Amino acid sequence: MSQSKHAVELCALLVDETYGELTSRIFTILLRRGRLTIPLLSKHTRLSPNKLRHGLAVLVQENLVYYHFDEDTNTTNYEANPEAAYMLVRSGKIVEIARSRYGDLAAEIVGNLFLSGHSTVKELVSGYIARLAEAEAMRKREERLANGNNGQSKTPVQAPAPHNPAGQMHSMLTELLESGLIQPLTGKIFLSPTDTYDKIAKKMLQDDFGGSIKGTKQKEDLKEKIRERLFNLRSEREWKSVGKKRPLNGNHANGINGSNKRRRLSNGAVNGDHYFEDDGTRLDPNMLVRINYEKCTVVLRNNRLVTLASNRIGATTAQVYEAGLRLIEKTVPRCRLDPRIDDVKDLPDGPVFSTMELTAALSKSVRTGTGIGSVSSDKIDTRKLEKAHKSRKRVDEAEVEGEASSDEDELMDDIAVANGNGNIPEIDPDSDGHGDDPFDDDDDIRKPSKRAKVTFQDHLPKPEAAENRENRMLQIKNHLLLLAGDDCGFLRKCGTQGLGQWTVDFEGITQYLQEEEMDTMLLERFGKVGHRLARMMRKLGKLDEKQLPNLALVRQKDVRTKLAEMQMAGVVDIQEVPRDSGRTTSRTIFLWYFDVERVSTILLDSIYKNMSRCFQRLDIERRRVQDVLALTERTDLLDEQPEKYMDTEQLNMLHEIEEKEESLLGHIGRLDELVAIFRDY
Amino acid sequence: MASSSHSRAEIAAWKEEIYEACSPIAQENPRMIFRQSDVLDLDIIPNDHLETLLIVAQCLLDEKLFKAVHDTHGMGWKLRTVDEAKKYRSLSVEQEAVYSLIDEAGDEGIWSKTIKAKTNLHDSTFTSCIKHLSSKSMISEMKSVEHPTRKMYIKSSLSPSDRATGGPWYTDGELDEEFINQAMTVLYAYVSKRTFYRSKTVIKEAHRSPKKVVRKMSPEHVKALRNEGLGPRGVEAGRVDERTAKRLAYESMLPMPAGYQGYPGVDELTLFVENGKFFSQTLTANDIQTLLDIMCFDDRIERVVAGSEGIAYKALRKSLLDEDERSSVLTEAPCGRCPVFDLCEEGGPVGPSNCEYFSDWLSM
Repeated sequence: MSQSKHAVELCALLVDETYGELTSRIFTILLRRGRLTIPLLSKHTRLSPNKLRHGLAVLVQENLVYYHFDEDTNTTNYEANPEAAYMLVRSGKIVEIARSRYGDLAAEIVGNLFLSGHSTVKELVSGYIARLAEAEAMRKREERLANGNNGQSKTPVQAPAPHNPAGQMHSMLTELLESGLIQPLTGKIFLSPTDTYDKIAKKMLQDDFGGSIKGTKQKEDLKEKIRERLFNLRSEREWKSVGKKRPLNGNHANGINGSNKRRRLSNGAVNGDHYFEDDGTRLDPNMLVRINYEKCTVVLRNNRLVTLASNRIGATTAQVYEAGLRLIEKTVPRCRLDPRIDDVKDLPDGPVFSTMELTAALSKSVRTGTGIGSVSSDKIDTRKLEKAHKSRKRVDEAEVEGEASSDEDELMDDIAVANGNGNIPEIDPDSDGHGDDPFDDDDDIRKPSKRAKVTFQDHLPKPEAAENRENRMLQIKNHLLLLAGDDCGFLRKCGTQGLGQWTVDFEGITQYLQEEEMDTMLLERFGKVGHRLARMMRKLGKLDEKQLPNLALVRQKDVRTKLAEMQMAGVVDIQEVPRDSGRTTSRTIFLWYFDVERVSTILLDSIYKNMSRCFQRLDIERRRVQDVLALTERTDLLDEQPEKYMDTEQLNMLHEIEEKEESLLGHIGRLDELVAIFRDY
Repeated sequence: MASSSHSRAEIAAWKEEIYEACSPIAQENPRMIFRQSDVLDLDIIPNDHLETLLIVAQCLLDEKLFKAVHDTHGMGWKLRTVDEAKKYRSLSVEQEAVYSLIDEAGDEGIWSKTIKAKTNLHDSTFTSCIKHLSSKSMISEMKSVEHPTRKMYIKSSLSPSDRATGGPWYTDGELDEEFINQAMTVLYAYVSKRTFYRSKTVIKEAHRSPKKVVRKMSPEHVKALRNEGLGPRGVEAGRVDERTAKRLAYESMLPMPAGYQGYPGVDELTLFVENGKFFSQTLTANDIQTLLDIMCFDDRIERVVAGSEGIAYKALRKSLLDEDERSSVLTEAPCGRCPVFDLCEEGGPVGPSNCEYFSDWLSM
């Protein structure tokens, strides 16, 4: 994170909001001054070393502060970790993801991890059991009370405690580890990345190069070796599903997501009681776990991409895209590669999924038959169109990959797939859930065209289920083609296995996301003309001032005014190129340009500032009604409804502040989305 | 002397003859420059006698039927029409100098300062010359789009060139933004009509057989339908004023499948505008292209590789929404539009604690 003034301010506020003033004071000083030892820290914060150690312990526990013990000088340095501090703002979203995917229990685990930074499996499990017991006791008390009050219970009756809470907890933790939302933790993460790098570099230098290196070649060599070592270190840290005897209740066919979904559906999922059976998985009770921010960002990015697809193409296609992204999510550990750790030189092709896999994983409730306009009922025409597109695509591909492009290839492909489909019912007779597919009629529309195609290829008509399945696959493929054909490049076709393999070039689409956000901002702030001019400059590069009015068809006067306004805001800038040594204005070319990087930096910083202002305002609003809020925090009233002990005026104030809190925090969350787009995705 | 041997009548006859012989060529190519050898090749001057040619040419020059020019190949003459020559003959020397410059400038017109610089005339003389020429309605003032402040002159018989008037986008030397917007609206309506599949069934009967699209009809038929369709479209949009109805209309716009070839290209759009008779002016394919480019920059349409022309245009889905419906997150809260955001600081002249904008926003 850039250490701009506003970023520091925001991080301090975030720590203050979550962990209180003591920690935030230490954290701010560390952020502003860089790494410090305890005596120096004490001097700057004017806190007693005792208090300081107290605060630092919390910060280290939360991984908000790195420490480094220097053996030579026998001192310990502390250094702030602004990334982790910023991530606090995203906690709500991450908890929400866990809830939507794995249920309330997962949300609870993640929430606890946010509060405690990291904790052992043992602690989590015992905490959960204790809470269950407490809830049980409470329920009983309520029941007793309710019986006394004409059987009117206030709280909804909670589900009876599961039979085996510990086992349930273990299964859920495994699930979360598997998904990557949480990760096991080792002592190494308390060392700042720079320190880790230095340590390894030092060791490498001693061990492999005899203490010194000379020449650029050796330098490069060392760098590469360090990178490899770091890479290995990181992979060691990652959760590996080794020794997993875990065919999740014998139902692994649909992958993790599919199985969860089905289970959730079968449970009704009304009051979020995701009953997780104990499948016998046991984790090491002393294992430490914490939240894996990098992975959470990947999930958030996928969500954002789905929204984009929905905006650009349509809802159904977005659903297909979502399923596709889920398939590759497992193999995408982080959004941005770190050049110090990852091998950025020869990157392998990104993770891929095939149309067939997607068809299997896609929820049956997605109506793949809808969402695309039908061009013509005349099937031959449709085929032609599709073919034309295919050949065009193939040519593109051939150019890139040097692959031979021929129509026969495509034909062969179809046949192979058809065979594969025909076989599926035999292999997996249980998956024949098409009988109750409510959208059968939907599929019927395309059936004639499909049949014609089949007979054309001299194939025997297949059983109904296979037909349906194939139809669905074709529809899904249509959606995928649409995604791949879009200008912002949601997908890229990279193979023909399984009726087409697809990958996502995240870099390109992230850039598109950024540009889109920038455009919205420009349109809002500088109107249509400013938006037009800026986009023009972004696309065409530097433009002569005299050219702009002609290209944009805007009056010269208006162009100048607008550009000056935008220059004041730092969005565009001007470059003067004198045509001769005289440097007179009349003999000078004025080139306007739009620096994307600079604009995103400015934008990011103003978002930080925006967010901190919201937090500050929130604090002020809270202070205004402090006495009311203090009342709700009284320990003896914690279990009571505010209606019971407050008078009308106080209640009104409470509701007002709650409303304000909601809108401010909601806005902060939305701003965070922008930060994610510009910084993290 | 040999020259004296030719009578005045003879000279006049040769003069006429040369002019007659040259004028069809000059008519064909007004820029034609006649050189000495060209004139001699006409075989009118006996024995290719140079002295005689000199006298004849001088006569023609005097009568302003010839005009002496210099270029890289040396000296030559250009022809003037009889009417033009008459005009020239009526002018004084200064007036002639001014007029010839304006004449040479053609339909581009000439800046008064340039005339002054080239003729070296005194201000008052120049003004009187211009006055005289204007009163005879031989020249008139004109405005150039490129240099709106300059005082320009042009021959009355000519109309200013496209470059000077700025092409179809300018009316009376002013950029006609209303017209440009109108043209873009027309184009956008056409493109968006061709981009989306309007599903009438998307909400209730999505699984029923969708209606056929007009794509298979003959182009004339389609065009006719479309021209009709443009009217009702507006009405339709006006009728749905409720938020939900709007949302529904937006949802029912489905994308065409990948590789759809029916998006319109420049040629088709040009034809459409031409046949639609929306504007009194004719817009060329280039003009349409300019508009399309701007619409691309406005993020309303997008280039796609499709159709018979290779490059076609499709409307973007978000352009279906009104501008105020797609506000950015940043400007939603007061800080995004705060005029004093740069000054804002806790403890500064303005800050979060005393921010009026926040108070308004929070009490909303």
